[in-house]
Amino acid sequence: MEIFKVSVRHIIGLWLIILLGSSSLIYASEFKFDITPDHINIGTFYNGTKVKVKGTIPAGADAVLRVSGHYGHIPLKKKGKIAGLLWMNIGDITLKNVPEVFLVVSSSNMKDKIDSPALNLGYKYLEKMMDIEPENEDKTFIFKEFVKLLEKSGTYGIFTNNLTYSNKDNNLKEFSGYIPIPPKMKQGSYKVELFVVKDNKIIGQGERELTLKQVGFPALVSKLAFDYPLIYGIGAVIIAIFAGLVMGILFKGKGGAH
Amino acid sequence: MFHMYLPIAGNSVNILLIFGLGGFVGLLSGIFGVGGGFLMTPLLIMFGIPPTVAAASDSNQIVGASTSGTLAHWRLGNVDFKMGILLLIGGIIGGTLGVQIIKILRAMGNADFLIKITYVIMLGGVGAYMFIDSLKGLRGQTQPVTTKKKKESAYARFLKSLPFQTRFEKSGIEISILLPLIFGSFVGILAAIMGVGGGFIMVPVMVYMLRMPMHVVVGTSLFQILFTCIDVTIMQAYANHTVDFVLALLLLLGSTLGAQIGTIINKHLKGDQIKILLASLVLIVCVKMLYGLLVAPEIMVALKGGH
Repeated sequence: MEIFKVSVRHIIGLWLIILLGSSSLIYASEFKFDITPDHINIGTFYNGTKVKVKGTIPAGADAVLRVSGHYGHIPLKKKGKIAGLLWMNIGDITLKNVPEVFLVVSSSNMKDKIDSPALNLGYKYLEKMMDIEPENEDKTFIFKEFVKLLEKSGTYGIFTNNLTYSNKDNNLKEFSGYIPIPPKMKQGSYKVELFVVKDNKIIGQGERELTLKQVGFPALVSKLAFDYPLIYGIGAVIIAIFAGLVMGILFKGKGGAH
Repeated sequence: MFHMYLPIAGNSVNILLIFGLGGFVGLLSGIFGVGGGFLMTPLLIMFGIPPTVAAASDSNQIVGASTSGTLAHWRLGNVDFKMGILLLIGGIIGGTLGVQIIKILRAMGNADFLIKITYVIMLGGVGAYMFIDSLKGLRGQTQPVTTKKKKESAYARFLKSLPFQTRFEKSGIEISILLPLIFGSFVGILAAIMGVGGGFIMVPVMVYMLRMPMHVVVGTSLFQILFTCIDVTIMQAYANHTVDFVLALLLLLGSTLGAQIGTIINKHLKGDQIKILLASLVLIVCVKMLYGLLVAPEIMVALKGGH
């Protein structure tokens, strides 16, 4: 009997664990979201684009989307004063384990919360993960300047006005908005993460993949430049000379010289 | 609208803007016989092109612009091929030496400091000398006859004392073939250190050191630049994959047109007028560079690979 009682307690405990686990799984699986398009073609006249996002989260929660990819080493030059007078590059620094693209999108509700220690969804998250070489460099200062540099190029950014909400049934709400895709974002695969935040805690996540690929003329030029560099270089020179000659002849024909 | 994607630069640009930039630099190329690399590369970087791609693609477009310019100047009888080939040989020797020098400087550290200082001194010195000299010429002022004659005769005596004297028909001068080789090497070294084609140094060298007439200087300089940039374009495409042909083509459309217009303007300007305009341009770039050295930058780091 005693054995039976213990077993029942254990079974109930086990059942509770399974129930809680499975309920949380069900809860997380509800955080589905769509990105449109999830594949971007980089053609001849491509100038960046916008990816629409849409999904459903609990009524009292907020959505934060994060796009990142192409993690690796980024070599930098540090600027400083020489002889107390002239500003120039004074040393080499390498940032390790940093992405080439880092875009965070949310509603204005999250403006001051993205980098809070409990969430850690913004630049602070990157700074923590990042390593710097040489190690004696001021990591926080260099990272701040690095972020400024990449924000200027459009590949880093925190956009806290890009998501809006609308009510839905069953204590749920719908979020929608867009992720700005800068023209400098290279072809390849990027991770789009959804973080569902409630009471300054992440209560669930979702993930999608976004791919960019060069097509048409840009793809042809890239293939030639990287796979057949000598032919590409000679071809570029021949076409340049030809263009120069044609222009020269055209001008002569028009009696332009003089 | 009007944007085009550059696959090697990995960015998109406004077609009209790049066309305009090409036209502006082509115009300078036609008027002054300079490649314009010292202007175009910083401008392209300013518009979001990675520094290495900007420099290499610029070389490619200079091939087109200088072909067009050389052709126009050749028709006008302004190209001294013999002089151009000797300067080119010197330039290649000097360029190879310069690359080794820059390697040593980088290993020693402070290479950037030396490069920038060389830039400012060369631009400032050459620009100021040309400006004052051409201003005097335009005002019709001459230096005291005795001093000038003494200086000229001393330099002329030195030139005549050198071996391997040869006649350069187009330039109307007789000098040793060692001179264009030595000066070509000197410009090649500086060009390699500074990372530019060297046209803006070569032009004053031809005018003041080789005593060539200004109109022949421009045509001959373009001829020499053409071959330097062919070499650079092929090498950069092969070794570094940094030539963006789409960017070069856009620049070319503007620059070939600009070069033709520049050549027409060149023919209507006096030698001193061309010199003073080039001197002003060189001085403006020098002041801009000096300003960049003295004022704290907005961002304290830069991606590696630029100037």
